[in-house]
Amino acid sequence: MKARQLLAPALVTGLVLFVAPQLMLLQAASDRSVWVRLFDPLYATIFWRSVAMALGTTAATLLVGFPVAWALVRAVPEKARGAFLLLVTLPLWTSVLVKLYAWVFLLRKGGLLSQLLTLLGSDSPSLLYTTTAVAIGQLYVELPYMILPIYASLERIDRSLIDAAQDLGASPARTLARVVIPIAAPGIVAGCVLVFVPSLGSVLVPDLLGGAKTAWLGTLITSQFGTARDPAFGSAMAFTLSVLTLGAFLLFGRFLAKAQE
Amino acid sequence: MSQATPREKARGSLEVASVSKKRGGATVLDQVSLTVNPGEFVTLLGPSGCGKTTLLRLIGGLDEVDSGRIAVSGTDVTGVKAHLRPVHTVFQSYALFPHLSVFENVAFGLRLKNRPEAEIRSRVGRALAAVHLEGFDARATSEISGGQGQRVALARALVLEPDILLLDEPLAALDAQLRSAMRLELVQLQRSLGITFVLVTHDLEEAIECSSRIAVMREGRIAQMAPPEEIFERPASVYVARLVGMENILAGRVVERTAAGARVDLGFARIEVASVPEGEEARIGLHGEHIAFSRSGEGVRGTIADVRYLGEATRCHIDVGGATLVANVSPKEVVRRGDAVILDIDASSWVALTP
Amino acid sequence: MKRLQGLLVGTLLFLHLPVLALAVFSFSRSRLSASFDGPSLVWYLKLLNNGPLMRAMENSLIVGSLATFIVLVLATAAALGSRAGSARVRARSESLFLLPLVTPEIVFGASLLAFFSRLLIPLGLGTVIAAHVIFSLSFAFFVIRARVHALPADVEEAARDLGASPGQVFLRVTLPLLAPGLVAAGLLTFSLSIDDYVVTSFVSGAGGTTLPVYIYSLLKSSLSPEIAAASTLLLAATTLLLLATALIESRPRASFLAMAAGLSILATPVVLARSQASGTRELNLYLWSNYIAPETIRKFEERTGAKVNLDVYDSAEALLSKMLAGNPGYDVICPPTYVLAPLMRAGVLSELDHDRLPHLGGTSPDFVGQDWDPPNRFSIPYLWGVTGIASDSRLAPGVDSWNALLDPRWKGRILMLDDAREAIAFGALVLGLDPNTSDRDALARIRKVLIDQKPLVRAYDSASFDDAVLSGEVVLAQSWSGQIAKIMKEAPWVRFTIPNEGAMLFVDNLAIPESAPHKDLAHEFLDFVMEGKIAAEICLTTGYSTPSAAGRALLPRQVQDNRVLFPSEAEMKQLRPFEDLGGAAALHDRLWTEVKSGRD
Repeated sequence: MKARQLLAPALVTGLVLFVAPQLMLLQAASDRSVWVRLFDPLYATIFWRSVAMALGTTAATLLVGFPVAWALVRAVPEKARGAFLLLVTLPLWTSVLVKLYAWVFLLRKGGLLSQLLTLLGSDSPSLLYTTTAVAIGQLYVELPYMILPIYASLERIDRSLIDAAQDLGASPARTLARVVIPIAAPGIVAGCVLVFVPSLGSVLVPDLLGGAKTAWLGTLITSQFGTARDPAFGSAMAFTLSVLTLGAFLLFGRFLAKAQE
Repeated sequence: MSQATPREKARGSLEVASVSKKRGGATVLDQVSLTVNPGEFVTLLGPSGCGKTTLLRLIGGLDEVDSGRIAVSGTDVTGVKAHLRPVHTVFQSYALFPHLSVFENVAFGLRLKNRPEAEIRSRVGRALAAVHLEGFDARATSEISGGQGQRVALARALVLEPDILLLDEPLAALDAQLRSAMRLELVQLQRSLGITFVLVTHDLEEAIECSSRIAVMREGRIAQMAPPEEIFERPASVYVARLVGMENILAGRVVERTAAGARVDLGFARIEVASVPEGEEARIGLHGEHIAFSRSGEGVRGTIADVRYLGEATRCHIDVGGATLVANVSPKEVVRRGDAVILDIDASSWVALTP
Repeated sequence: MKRLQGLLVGTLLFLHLPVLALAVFSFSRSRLSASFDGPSLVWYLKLLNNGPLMRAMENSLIVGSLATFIVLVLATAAALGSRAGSARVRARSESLFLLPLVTPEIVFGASLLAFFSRLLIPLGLGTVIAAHVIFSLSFAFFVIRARVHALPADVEEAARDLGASPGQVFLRVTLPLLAPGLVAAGLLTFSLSIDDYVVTSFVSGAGGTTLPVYIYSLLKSSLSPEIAAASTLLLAATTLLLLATALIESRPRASFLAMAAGLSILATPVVLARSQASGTRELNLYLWSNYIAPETIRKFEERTGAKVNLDVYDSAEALLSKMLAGNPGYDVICPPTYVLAPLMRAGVLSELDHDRLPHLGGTSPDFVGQDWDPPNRFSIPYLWGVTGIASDSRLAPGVDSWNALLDPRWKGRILMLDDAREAIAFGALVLGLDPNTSDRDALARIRKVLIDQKPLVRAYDSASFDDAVLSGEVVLAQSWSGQIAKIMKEAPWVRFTIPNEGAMLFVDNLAIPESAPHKDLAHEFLDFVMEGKIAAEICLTTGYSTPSAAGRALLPRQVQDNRVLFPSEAEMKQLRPFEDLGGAAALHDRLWTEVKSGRD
């Protein structure tokens, strides 16, 4: 047996459980009128709003996650890093829904956070059902998925490389831009994929913490398979979404590869 | 002990017969044959890409031959998997198992054979002692130096008492001082154990110092196989001559073939060599050490064109009318550019080379 | 340096704050919503006695560990295989593995459901495992591949050279060196699996309810602190296990203790759920969660000697699409009125044998032979409720009309249910239109009402409207009666009104699928829940109204007279049931999407 053939079981699994079902989904949406309906301006509004939310979440988690990963590498001795990583990962083991419920109770009128705010003299007793709550929730849910891959790539950077760059007269900002970020690029891309894709389909945070006052792509597609009883349309939307996401990331990856050169 | 079986008599012998190997369409080894006697220390010498490491991997069974035959200790092992051959390798990278301690690295092969714990302890202890690593048992492989890693790799292979030990550039990663110390140790170890060693290197000095015989390889073939003195003093070809650093490689014309060899005209002198290849044209080699300045006034006349002080010797480029000879003379000689000199060349040190 | 450390501590606090709050509240005696009142282990005891919840935890653990094992085997083989291939094989296989990473969960779920039902593969725990394998395979592959590429040079050849057979090389060298990657990939796969709801809800069948599915299903009846207790237990177990792996080298004894403790916590649900397996006869129930009390199930098991498996769903549509895709082995299902029609049309329901349902006679005439299933050929009523207005009577006394929810005085203090049908019914009742209308003009007028109302609405929320009223977050809330009846015990100032324009009645019925494997036992169960004593117990334990007149008569006086659970006869006349919309469902859904996507 050639070692290369070890790929076969996973590829066959993918063929049977991924490719074949996708084709069936596509076949379910074989009616052309279904695809025409995709161009309804109502759905375009929802689509762009969801994209904006996902981009915002990605940007926010990157802005917070990168410094945190950097801090893990620079400020934590090597022996203690495992424990810190564990602490970052642990919340992932509790159901997202349950954690969001906990946030509902923390943010609600009379909840811990609003009590804190009252103590600080703010007159906004409840944060629940606000944009702030949505922002907190999205950041909370997605942050670990940004920290972990960036940390993994930063950890490989040789410390002496940074020292060398600074020794050669590079300012901290330049060191970051010229040395650290290019090396961490694969981790940044991975983190962005891991955050962007689920955010695009996210419904829980805006619904539970934001009061469900807007329609999102995730809700829209889910409802086609449920209340709207229109699985063909749902399939068309879902399929389009995965193709667009894939396209966006291939472009992003290429752009990044170019930037690195 | 009972009678020696044929295998025991031949134990440690190696026979490679017409072995060829292609990789990605290119021929890496082309009909290579060589024989190693039990207890020999043979070195495969050549530049990178000459096929020496490939040959070693074929002997170890890490790759399979395309054609040809390999026998170890008188038994054909062609097609036998690596783990079933009585041959073990010391890798250039040492390839120590990072998840195992020094002791467990050395014990690895014995554990695979399910040897009793007591036997493993004593054999690993002896192997570590043989490479001067007593007391390192519990160390992690990340806690030892390069030279110590090299010894662990050596002990790990030797503890299994192979018929033949293969060494792939084992000293390449060490600094110069450590390298020469290890060379000596390798030779002593080989002598005391009596195991056949096959070493791969691109370092001439290492090959000459360690080996009982050297096989010089070129583009997938063996260019010359002989004891070190012969390789050095009487290289068979221009290629080997360059490899052993022969300073003078000259073109000449065969004037006369004799029973003992031939007379060759070099333009500035006529010389005799033991054997010459067919044809009129001849390539003649000479080590710069065999040229000295004559006190008697007899010999080839020339003018010093260039002088360089090298420490152990002084290298002079000497114009001898139409040709330039390079001589390594004693540093005590005081010569300057433009000096006229008479050269005393040992007549027996001229070597005819194949192209 | 100080600033970096501060950032780290802050981030960790942020990430752990809700988890810690959850742990604290799991030891509180009162409900999650109220302030801390404890410490007490009451929710842990309840959890241990909640068979279906323990069963869901057990399923989650089984799915998680089996899927993780399969994924690790496949991904490790693939990573080693891709290393052995040429650069082109490597690049191709890696881009293939990239595809699932950018596929939305919903696409996995919908396509796998289509796939399984097309191939007539019965849905169950097996299909859930298959789904979890495929959506986490790529994650594991990339984690392990990174480790494979970082393997030190030559060590595998060295092992071969030292006499290791290919199998020994893998076990003694490759595997130990890949171990950190395998642990990381395993943890990732397990955490993806244990938290997956979307895909699982599509592909789970009889016996396939996992913890997240159970939790989501609770949304309609508000989250119970038992869930906080279950989450805390799960977290404690995983913390101990992770601690054990971290300690394994430095302190073997401590790591052994941690591992033993972690495993025994994890084993509890398996042992308890298994110990409840009594008979050989089985009954597969598919209900909303909190729609039957564990003690009621136990009584049925004791009486019949059968074993009951309870699966739960979180939307009537989930039930419908599952049943239309082919019954995944359920014996008794619980469709609301408007889902009965499409199920009957599709011919997936079995006709009931009334001779075997003697207790049907005890049902109130309000619920027998109604429009949705005239002679009760296919279904019996199980529980019911009303959509009305919950209000804080101290601030908003005298609410009697749906127009209260359009009153600008309460701007920002009004909550509406997050449900297309309830929203449209509200608009229709305000305008005096048919709540089940599919007339385009009528729907256009309803849409205007809803869009105009939107600036007044604080939130659309079907999950915690009761808590929103209780905490004072809102003053008025469109609400389901059952939940409000429950909180009125804690907050006597909460009122529940059936407005004078009328209100929507929802009735959840029990039916037996045509392909049910255990029809006899299913009939026994239907008759069992209609017995007066049992009907009363179900009403008390679930908090919803019972359609059984016999059952109502056995309830404590103050419950019988509770006007929220049992409205007056005049009010009952005002109630209208939800009907099947057929093809107009898409119209309703679009209208709702338009309302939601308009500006706030």
